[in-house]
Order: sequence, then structure tokens, then C-alpha cells
Amino acid sequence: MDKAEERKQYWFVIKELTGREIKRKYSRSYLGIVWSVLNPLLSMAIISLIFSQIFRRSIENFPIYYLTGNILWQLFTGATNSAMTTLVDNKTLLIKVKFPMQVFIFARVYTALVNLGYSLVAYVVMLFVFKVTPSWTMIFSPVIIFLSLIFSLGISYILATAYVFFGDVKHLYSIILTLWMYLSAIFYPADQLKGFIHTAIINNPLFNYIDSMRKVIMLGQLPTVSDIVRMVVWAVGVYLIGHHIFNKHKNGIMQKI
Amino acid sequence: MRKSLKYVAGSFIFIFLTVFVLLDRQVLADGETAAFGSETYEWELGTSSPIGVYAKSNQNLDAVEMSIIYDAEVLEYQSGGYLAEPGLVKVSASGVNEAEYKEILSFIPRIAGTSTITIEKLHIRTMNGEDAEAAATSAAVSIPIPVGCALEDIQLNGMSIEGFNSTQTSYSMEVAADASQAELLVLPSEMQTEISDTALAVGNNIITVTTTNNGGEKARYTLNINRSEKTEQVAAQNEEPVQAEPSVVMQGNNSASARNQIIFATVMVVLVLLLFSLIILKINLMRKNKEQQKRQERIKRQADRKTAEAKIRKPQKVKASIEEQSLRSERQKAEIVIAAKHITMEFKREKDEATSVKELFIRTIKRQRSYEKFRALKNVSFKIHKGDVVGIIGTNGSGKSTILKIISGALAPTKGTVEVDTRKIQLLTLGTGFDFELTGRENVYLNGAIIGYTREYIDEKYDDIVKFAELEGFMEEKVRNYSSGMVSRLGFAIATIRDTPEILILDEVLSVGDMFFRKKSEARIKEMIHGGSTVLIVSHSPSVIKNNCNRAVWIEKGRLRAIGNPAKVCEAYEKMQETS
Repeated sequence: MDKAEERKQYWFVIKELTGREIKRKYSRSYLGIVWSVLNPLLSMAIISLIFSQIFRRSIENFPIYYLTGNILWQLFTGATNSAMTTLVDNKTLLIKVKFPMQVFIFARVYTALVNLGYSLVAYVVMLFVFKVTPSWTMIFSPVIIFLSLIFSLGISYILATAYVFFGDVKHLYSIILTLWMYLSAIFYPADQLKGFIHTAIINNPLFNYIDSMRKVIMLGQLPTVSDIVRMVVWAVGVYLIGHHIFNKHKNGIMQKI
Repeated sequence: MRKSLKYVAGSFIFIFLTVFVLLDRQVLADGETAAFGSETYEWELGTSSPIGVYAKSNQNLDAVEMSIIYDAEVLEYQSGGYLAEPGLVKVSASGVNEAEYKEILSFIPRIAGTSTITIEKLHIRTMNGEDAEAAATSAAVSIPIPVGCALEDIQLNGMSIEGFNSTQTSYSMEVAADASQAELLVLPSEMQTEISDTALAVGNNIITVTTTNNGGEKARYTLNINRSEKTEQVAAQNEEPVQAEPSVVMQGNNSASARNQIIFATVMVVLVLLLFSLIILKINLMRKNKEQQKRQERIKRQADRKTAEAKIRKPQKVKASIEEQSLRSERQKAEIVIAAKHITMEFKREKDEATSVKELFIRTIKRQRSYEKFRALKNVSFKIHKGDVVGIIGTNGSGKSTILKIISGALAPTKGTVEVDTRKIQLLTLGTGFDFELTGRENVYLNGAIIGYTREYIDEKYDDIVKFAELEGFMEEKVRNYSSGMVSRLGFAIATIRDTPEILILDEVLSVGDMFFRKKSEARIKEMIHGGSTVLIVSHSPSVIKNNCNRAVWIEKGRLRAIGNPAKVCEAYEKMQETS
């Protein structure tokens, strides 16, 4: 097998694993993949119902504000939560596979991306419904999605490695995610908080991605240079750290499993 | 190959970053405006009059700085900002945190007539830390002429001004190019008037006529006289009136931003084209490399065969049992496909291991983490030749699975090396790797992909797999509903469908399953051996080994106990089991 063929095969494995994840996720449901489209819409409807009144003055076009934050948040949690357990879930496939173990982590993160693709269908429709004026800055939203994906991949590496050794990580992470969600200003305006919490939100990398996405989509503005630098540094930094940790413990993971 | 991929990825990121950074600078003055409460004002002479100045943005403002210019002779500044010098008021604020900032300035009109107030400069900083400037804007102020100040007529160069009206205070007119001096005659002549410099330069000139009545009140008539130019037109542009400047600036801004947008659109298009050409270049490179590699591989394979044959002919000094040597003569021409050399595998096992983060943390602090080295394999060496069917036997926990993992490349040994082409290995363990929520068909593709089949290959062999597993009509059913026999048949079929899987490892596969399947799979293995496959069978059942293998390896407690003829090795193994 030469390199190109190998890469093709690698891609085939990722696609098969991703296909499995998606089929599995909706294996007993009627609507199946439609849920990926419906889910963000319904949660948008509910959250908007309550919070759009509260934040009527400070947030213009609340549903889109929420939806923009939510789809990126779902990408992140979907990727990290499922990638965390992937090595343990695929124990039996692990020794059979002809590729590095990363393939399982990639597959789960890619699954989250595919899911995002379906959610984007709903998102685009909502952009029309709520009459968001199209702006050329929207071209840069894929870049932001890509960067947040790299960031998620880095976190996934760390979590997947940790979960092999400690089962508690799963429970701990769900708590951390709750905190993290509130610090990402998904359904409220970030400037309404003051002091320490405000600093925490501003420095939260996820908020960074979400905020930039909002600027690009809703305001027709580009993120500032410092925004871009932070987004790139977080994505690349976390990815490298995660990759390093994973590689260092590779043998340990196999022994443990 | 990998390098070119890096280049492409690198340039991709670079391009987007540059575009990002470049475009970021262009965001200036987008939605920022300076404005007055109204476009025109009518004020009374001598009474304090308010005027509202606004800074607006589509984002929340943090800091605002405005410079407002007015005619200090006509208006007297009273309050609302900070008087930098007569004619220039500054307004600044910080910590606004709203999208609009408003300030009320007060002026007292001192001379009747018309005047303008201009927000010459508006500098804002948004809450996000962006700086922006807005275009200048003006408001017109008119002050009614008091009794006794009104003129009846003004004559310019002997001609009455067209459309003169004593209540209108501002006029525009043109004079010929040779008129270098304006001669003004003001009626009524007994009125106390003051006329500014009447010399006319080429272009626009402003001449004011200020009247004063008995009460000391003043009014001002303004004449905009344009002396047409014969000579160069350029000179005129330099002398445009102050009042016209704002609109000129605004136009400049608009056209500049439009131009910038066009520039960036072109830059974007060029970059995208660049990216595409890079990708196309890369694909071409890949194709070329592919062909080259194929050619090289063909040559290499031929060379390999020659050297391998040569190697085997050389006498080898290997410590081995007597049977091994006698067998070697038969297999002298066979290639060595697996060579395990002095493999030692140590697991660092923690005594009474921490299973939670909390426990680990506490123990690390207390320094109670003691390790125990557990040797799963101790200095194991063996060689397996092409076409061999080797049985690995041993009791549970003796290290059989560890050695399989090491051979298949999943684990790296602590010491020693394994020489084997892991890509050729096909590992089959029973009933594992199936997703029970998926259908049989989906599992074939998933498992096939994982053990290295391409999509085309599975498409081609799909019917054969189903036929061998005898699962016609069940493939669209979920594996959840399969019997264990069906699952193992399917697993076996997928793993052995390849014409010659070069190395097949069977982990406890043959000892389970119904009689019929066992016969069938044993037949298939024999078929494969004829096709040149090497088979490793792992089992703790001696009968399986004796029936299928031509060599046996006995591993006990991590040590290599015996290697050689299966019958003899199994005999020794059974004897040990009886005694223990």
C-alpha cells in the first residue's frame, strides 16, 4: 500500500466509524438524522421563549444570538464528550485496527462535525427567517468552525487519555461542562456581568469562538486581531498539548486496556 | 508527500490569517456617525440657545471625543463642553456603555445672520476596544435680524445683488475673472456698517457686511463671491470654502471604503485561485509519486526475494530444540515472516491501583504510590517461517495475548524487537468488533474498513462473505438479533475472505463454535495455508493445536518453555497440567 492509498483507507475507516456513530445514535428513533436538525431549533425555541424577554433590550435578534452560540457549543461538547469514551468503547477494535489509535478520536470528532453540518441546515434557514442581512464576512465562519474543531480535538485527546486511566473523569467533566457553558455566554449578553466572572468569560476560548462567530454572522464585522490571535493560539496550543499527552501515554493505554 | 501537504496547509492558514488581519483594518467608520439634534436651528439674538450633539454607533461605546468648530465672532460659547480656544469646543466622555452618546451645548448668538456649527472630528472607542472615526457633519444656524440692522440693498460693482431681500443674509454670486476687487455699496448709506476685506482672489471669497443698530445689536450679511478662473483649475480646488469641506471628506471616505472593498474582493479571489492551483499541483504530485512508488516497490520486491533467499541459505546459530533443527531442512527455502527477538514485556503495575483521581492525588501527596513490576514475558525469542501454522499454547494468563498484541504492533515490548510487517497481519478474535446496533451489512463494511479492506474490495467480495458465513437473508438484520454462531461465522468470513491474508492470527477462534462451523473453518485455514498464508493459532486447548498446526510454541508464565513439533509440545503441556 502506498501513502495515498493508505490515506484513502484511513479516510474510509473514519467514514465508516462516523457512519456507525450516527446510525447508532438514532438507531431506535423514527425521525433519525432529522433530530440533528430539529434539536437546535427546538432548544432555540424554548430558550428564546423565556430569555428573549429578559434580554430584549441588550440583545438584538435573540434567537440567532442563541443559535449561533449553541451550534458551536454543541460541536464542542459533542466532540469532547463522545471522544472521551471512545478508546474504552472500542476496546475490541483497538488491537485489530491497522491505523494509529487516533483514528477513533478523529472519528468521534468528525461525527460532531457532521452533526454540525445538519444543524447548519436549520441555522441557515433561521438566518433567512429572522432576516439577518447577509454580509461578506460570513465567508470566514468556516475558519472559525475549523479552529474550534481543532481546539475540540486537542481537548478530546486529553480527555480520552485521562478516561482510560480514571473513570471519574466522565463525571467530573460533566460538572466542568456545566460551569463552562455558563461561562460561554450562550444565552445572555456577556457585558452584563462584571468583575471576575466577566474576566473569566472574556478569556474563555470557547466564548472567543462564539463571539467571533456572532460578529461575523450577525454584525457583519470581522473579529479583531487579538481575537484571531487568541483563537489560533488556543486551537494550536491545546491541540499540541493534547497530541503530546496522548502520544506519551499510547503504550500505557494499550496496556491498561 | 507529507511535506507538500504541510505546505498546502501552511499556506492555507497563512492566507486566511493575512486576509483576516488586512480586512480587520478596514472596519473603521462602519456605522459610526456624528449628528446634531436637527439640521437647522433658529436662534434669537442674545439668548442662550441649546444644540444637541450626538455620537452614534451600532456597538456600545466606551469613550467619545468630539471637536466642534463654530464661528466665534457670531456665536459665544456658553456651556456643555470644554472650550479649547475661541471657535473650538471639545466634548469627551468615557465609560459610556451605550450605543449613543449625547451632549447639549449652549451658545449665545451675538451677531444676527447665518452661521454653521460643525462636528469636525468624532473619535470613538467601542466597548470591544475598537477605535473608529466618523465623518464630519454640520448644522446651519440662522438668527433673525433685529430692528434697525436690516439693509435695503447691497450693490456689487455698481449692480444690485440679484434677489436681494433684507431678511436673507447669505448670497452667492459669480464675478468675472478680471475683477480683483469687489466694490460694495451698502444702502441705506447712513447705516453703521463694517465691511471686511474686499480683495478678490481667484475662486471663492467671503465678504461680510456687519451692521450695528443704535442698541448695539449686530447683524451680518455674507456674500460668497466666486471669481471664475481663467488659468489653472487646480488652484481653485485648494481654496474651497471651509463649509464645503465636510462633504468633501465624506465623499472621500465613501469612495475609499468602496475602493477598499473592491481591492479586498480581488485579493480574496486571487488567494482562492492560488489555493486551488496549489491543491491541483498537489494532486498531480501525488499521482506522480504513486506511479513512482509502484515502480520502486516492484523493484524492491524482486530484490527482497533474492536477499531473503540468500539469507536463509546461510547457516544460522539459533538456540533451539532438536526438533526445530530437524524441521528446518524442510523449510529452508521459506521466508521468515515473524522474528521475535528477546522480547521482554514489563507492566508497571501499581500495587492496589488507584482508580479515581482523588485517590491518585492523595496517594501522590502521601508518597504511597508503590509500583510493582510485572513481567508478562521474559526473554522470548522465536522465528516463524512463511507457510507455517504455528500454535501458541499456554494456560490462562501465561502471556499468550500479550505476545499477540506485540506481534500485531498494538503494544511495544519493553525490551527486544519483533520483525514483522504489521500491515500483513489479520487478527481474528471471536465475536468482537461487532456493533450490535448495526445491521450485518453495515458491520461487514465497518469491520472490513478497520482490518484494512478498501471500499471497492468489500463491494467486490461482499457476496462471497455472505455466502461463506451462510447468512443470506440476514444481512439487513441487526446483529443484536444474531445467534453467537452467526456472529462468529460472519467474523471468520470477513477476516479470511482475502485471497492470501499473509499472516492470520486466530485468537481462541477454533475452540468455540458448532461442529459444522469448526470443520468449515478448519478447511478454510488449510486452503489458506496452500495459498501461502502463515497462521498463528492461539489456544489453551491442545487438541486444536495438534489437529491444525505443524509447529507449536508453549509459553508458560511468560517464559518460552518449548518450541517445535506440536505433538511433543502438547504432550509436555498436558503432562504439566496433570501434575499441577
